[in-house]
Amino acid sequence: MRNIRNDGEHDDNQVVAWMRDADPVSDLAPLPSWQLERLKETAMTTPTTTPAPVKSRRRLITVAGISAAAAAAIIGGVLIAGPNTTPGGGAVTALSVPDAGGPAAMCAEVTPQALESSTLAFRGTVTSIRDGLVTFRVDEVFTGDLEQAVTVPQGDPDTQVDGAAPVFQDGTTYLVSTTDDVIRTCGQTGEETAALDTLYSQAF
Amino acid sequence: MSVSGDRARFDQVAAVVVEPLRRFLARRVDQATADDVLSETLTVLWRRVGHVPVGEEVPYAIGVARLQLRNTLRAMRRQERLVAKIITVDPPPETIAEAGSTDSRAELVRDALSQLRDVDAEVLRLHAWEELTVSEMAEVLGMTTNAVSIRLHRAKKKLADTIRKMHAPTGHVVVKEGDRP
Repeated sequence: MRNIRNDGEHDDNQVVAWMRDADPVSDLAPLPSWQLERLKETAMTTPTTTPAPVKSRRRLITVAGISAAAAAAIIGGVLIAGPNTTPGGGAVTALSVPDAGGPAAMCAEVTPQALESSTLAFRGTVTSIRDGLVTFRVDEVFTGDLEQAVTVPQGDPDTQVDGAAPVFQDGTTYLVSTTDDVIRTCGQTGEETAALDTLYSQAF
Repeated sequence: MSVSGDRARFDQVAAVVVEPLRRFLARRVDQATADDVLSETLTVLWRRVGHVPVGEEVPYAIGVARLQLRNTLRAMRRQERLVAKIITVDPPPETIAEAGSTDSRAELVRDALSQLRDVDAEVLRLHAWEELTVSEMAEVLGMTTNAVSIRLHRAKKKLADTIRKMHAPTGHVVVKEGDRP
């Protein structure tokens, strides 16, 4: 358990010893077994907190998807959900991007009310972009049930029209929202800026 | 996995993780919040029981609890902002104020810890208190093992420096030249 470093730095060991002495719960009494049983029962009977999909929003995306189908076919931007693991092997939430965008799609203004209906919303930093798959480290979850890493297919930089999948940059922090497991575009997902951050804090 | 298989695995997971989770939470928040987050964390673990890695139940559960805790604290802050608009509220309680230790060195270390950046303090807590390895911390924090090693090394230095600054060895305050009135 404690094979963290072996560089024999006296100072380092001293700091860890101080920390251990300062542990505020070294004497926590174990949970009585009946309480653990009750907790488990609660866990197994609690309904999922993830909100139901927003129907109207879903339809809108479908319509946009149809209207953009021709454009998507020409551009050849094939966007599918990524595999369910990270290169590091940890648990991952795999998201996809809408088949939307194109000349027929038009974006509305981003508002806190619009963001409120997100299935998932989080602040995440891009840790890698490989083979068209962007991996995020989740820094903060605003709503929904997420793993600590999230994958999203990378957008096509040549298709940056209204509603197109975002193009992410490595190392940059984004605010991301989804409907079900489909990334919301139209500015609802974007680089962390003061303006978008304000909208997110009003929504969540 | 069958329902009974899920149930058996959940029993196993819960038995292994419940005490580490309770300590993790008690080190960070008040009892009522800790109870809530423990319950939420177990709910998530039940829903994902098929994904909990065998042999790595504790770091996985701590990773879940950490995100649940952040959600809860965020909601609490939002609630506090709302309440603050209507009435004057007392400042939020110190999260580990109820530690009950009168040991002055322990107090000093906890004070110093609270002065570090969140991420530095968290790496130190996960290492010294939760006793996670570097790779386990990397999993919990969503960082590379290399990044965690570097962060841990620096955090130890920062804590030692902060303690040294706060601690005047012979009881007198260290005064630098030019500080005198």
